[in-house]
Amino acid sequence: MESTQVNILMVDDRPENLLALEAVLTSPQYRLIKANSGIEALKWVLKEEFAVILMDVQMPLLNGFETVKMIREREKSKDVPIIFITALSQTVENVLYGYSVGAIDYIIKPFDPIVLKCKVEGFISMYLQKKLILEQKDLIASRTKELEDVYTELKKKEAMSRAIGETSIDSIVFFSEDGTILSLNPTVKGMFGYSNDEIIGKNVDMLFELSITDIPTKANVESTAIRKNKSTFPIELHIADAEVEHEKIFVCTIRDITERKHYFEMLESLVKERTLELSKTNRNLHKEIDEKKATMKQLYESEEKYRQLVENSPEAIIVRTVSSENISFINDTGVKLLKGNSKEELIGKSMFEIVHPSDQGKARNVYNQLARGESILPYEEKLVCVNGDVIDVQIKIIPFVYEGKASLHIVIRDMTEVKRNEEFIQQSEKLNVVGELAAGIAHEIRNPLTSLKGFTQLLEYKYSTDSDYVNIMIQEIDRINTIVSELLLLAKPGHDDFREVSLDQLIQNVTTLMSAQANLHGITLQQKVDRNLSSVMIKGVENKIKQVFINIIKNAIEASVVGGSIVIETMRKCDYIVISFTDSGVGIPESILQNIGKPFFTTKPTGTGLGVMVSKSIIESHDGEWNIRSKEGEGTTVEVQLPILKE
Amino acid sequence: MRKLSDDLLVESYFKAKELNLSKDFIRLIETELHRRSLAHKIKVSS
Repeated sequence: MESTQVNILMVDDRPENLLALEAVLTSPQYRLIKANSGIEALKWVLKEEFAVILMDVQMPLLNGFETVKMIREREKSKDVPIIFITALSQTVENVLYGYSVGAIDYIIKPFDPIVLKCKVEGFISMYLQKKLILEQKDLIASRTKELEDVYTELKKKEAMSRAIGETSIDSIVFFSEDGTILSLNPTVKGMFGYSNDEIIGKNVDMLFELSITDIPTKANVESTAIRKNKSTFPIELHIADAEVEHEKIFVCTIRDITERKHYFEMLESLVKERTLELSKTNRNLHKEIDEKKATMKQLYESEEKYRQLVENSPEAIIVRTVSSENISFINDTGVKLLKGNSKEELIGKSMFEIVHPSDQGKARNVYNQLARGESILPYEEKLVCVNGDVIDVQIKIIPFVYEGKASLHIVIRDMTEVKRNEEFIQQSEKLNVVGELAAGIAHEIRNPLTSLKGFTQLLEYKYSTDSDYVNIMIQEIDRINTIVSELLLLAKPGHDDFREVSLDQLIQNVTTLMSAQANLHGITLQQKVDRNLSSVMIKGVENKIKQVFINIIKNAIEASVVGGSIVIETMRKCDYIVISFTDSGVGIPESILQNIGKPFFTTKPTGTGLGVMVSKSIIESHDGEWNIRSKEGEGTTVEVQLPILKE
Repeated sequence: MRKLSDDLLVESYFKAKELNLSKDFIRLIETELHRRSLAHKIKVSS
C-alpha cells in the first residue's frame, strides 16, 4: 500500500494555508505531509523521499527560496520537483529567481484548486515515470551482468570442450540430420588420413563400412571404419544428438579399437589355450579318477573276496599272537563251530579255555614247541564249545605275522562229521558182511530145517503122540523158518535178478494181499495213487520190493487202533517216485525211532528185529531212500523213494 | 534123510503127500528118492 502512495510535502507557515492545500489534494494515492517552517521541511526531506514539494515563499526565518536552495544542494533531493506558492507581487525577477534556485513551477495565490490539483498530478505522474525508468534501468543492469557471467562461463566451457575435442584420442565428427559432416576434431586426420577440407561437407557414411544412420543414439556400438587408403579397422561408435537453434545435429565419437581388439583376441586365444589345457588336465584327472575308482573297486572286490574266503572257509580260522594266549581273530565258521553267538563272545578268550581238559597238556606242548620255533604237524584234539559240547577237531598251526606281531594262524577242521561218516561206513560195511554171511548160512539151514519140520510132523501123525512137545517143536521150527526167510532177503540180489517192474501193479497186489489182514484188525487201506504215475516202471526185484511194502504195512497195522486207516500215496519228486505209507496210529517215541533199523531191535514179543533192517537194505540195494517220520500219538509216515526207470 | 531106509523114505513120501505137508519137504524126499533110484516106486503107486 505504502509503495503505491506517493509522498507530497506541503510547506507553509500558516496553518490555514496548509489546510486549504490539504483539502484540495486529499486522495488515497497521496500521503500529505505538512511542514510549518523551512527547517521542518528540510528535516522531512532528509527523512523521506517526495514526489512533489509545495513551498510557500514567504516564511519567517528561512524563506522558501533559501529552503529550496538547500534542498537542491542535497544529491538525493536535487531533482524533486518543487512548486512555489506565493502571494508576492509577481515580478519577473522574483519568478526568475525562483526558477534559478530550482523551482519547477509557480502558483500564485489565490490559486485555482483544480489547476493546482492538475499540476500536482502532472508532477506526480512524472515522478512515477521517472521512478519506473530507474527501476527498469536497475533491472537491465542486473540482466546485463547476468548475461556477461553466462557468456564468460560459456566461453570457458567452450574452451574446455575444444581442448577436450582437440586432445581426445577419439575422433569426433559433427554432422547434420542428412549426414553432412559439419565439423571434426584433429584426431580424425590421424585416424582416417583425411584433412579437414577433404571431408567437411561430405556424407558421414564415407567413413564407415555400414551406414551409421540406423545406429541408435547414446549407445556404444562396435563397427568397422574405412580409412582414406581404403583400409579398414575396427571401431567403437557412440552417437549423441543435440539440438542447436532448432536444428538437430549429431556428434559421433569414433574410437579405434584395433589394439583393444588385438589384445582382446590375444586374451581370447590365451584363454582358449588355457581352457584347452585345463580341459585336458580335467580329462586326465577324470581318467585318473576313473582308474582309481576301478582300482578301488578291484581292491574292494578282492578284499571282499578274501574276506568271504576267510569267513566262509569250511575250516575254522583263529588268529592269536605268540606272546598272548588270547584269540585276536576268529572267522564265521569258527564261531559256528564253537557254537558261539558272535565273534565278540570269543575274541579275547584264552585259547586254553576252549581246549578240552584232557588235551590241555598236549596243547601246551604244541605251543611250547612253536615258541621254540619248531614246526608241528597237524594233530587232533578235543575242543569244548561255548555251550559245553565237545567236538573232535584236527588242528594245523601256521606261524605268520599279523598286524606287525608274530602270530599263529590256527586252522581247525571239524572232525565230528568225518568221524561220524567213518563210523557209518564201518557200520554199513559190517552190516553188508554180516548180511551176506547170514543169508549164506540161512540158505544152508533151510533144507535141514524143512526135513526137520516135515519129519516132526510125520512123527506126530505116525505115532499119534498127543504130546505137546511136537507142537512146541513145530512152533519153534516155524520161528526159525521166519528168521531164516528174512535173513535170506538180506542176500544181495544178483544183477540178473533186476527186472522192469510196474510199481502201480505192485502196489495193487500188495494192497489186495494185505487188505484181508487189515480188515481182520478193523483197519482200512486207502490208496491215493497219482493216476499220472500209473505207468511208472522201476528196475528192481519184484518180490523183494513187495516184501518191503508188506513189512511196512504189517507194522502200520500193528501200530493202528481199530477203525484206523492206512493211506498209501504216490507222488513224483524229480527222477524219483515216492511211496508213502501213513498211519494214524500210536506213533513211535523218539528213543525208539533212533534205534529202528538196528539188527535184532524189536518192540514186539514175537518180532525178529530184522524187518526194518532188511527192508532198508533192500531199498538201498535199489538205489532208493528210506525215511521214517513219526510223532507220538499222531501216527507214523514211512517214505520210500525209488528211481524211475521210465514212464 | 540119507540114513533113512528106502522103505521108510517111500512111506514118508506118501504120508507127507497124504497129510499135505510142505511142498519143500515133499520135494526134498523126491530128490532123495531119485538119488537112490527109487523113483519108480512112487510112480507105480501113484
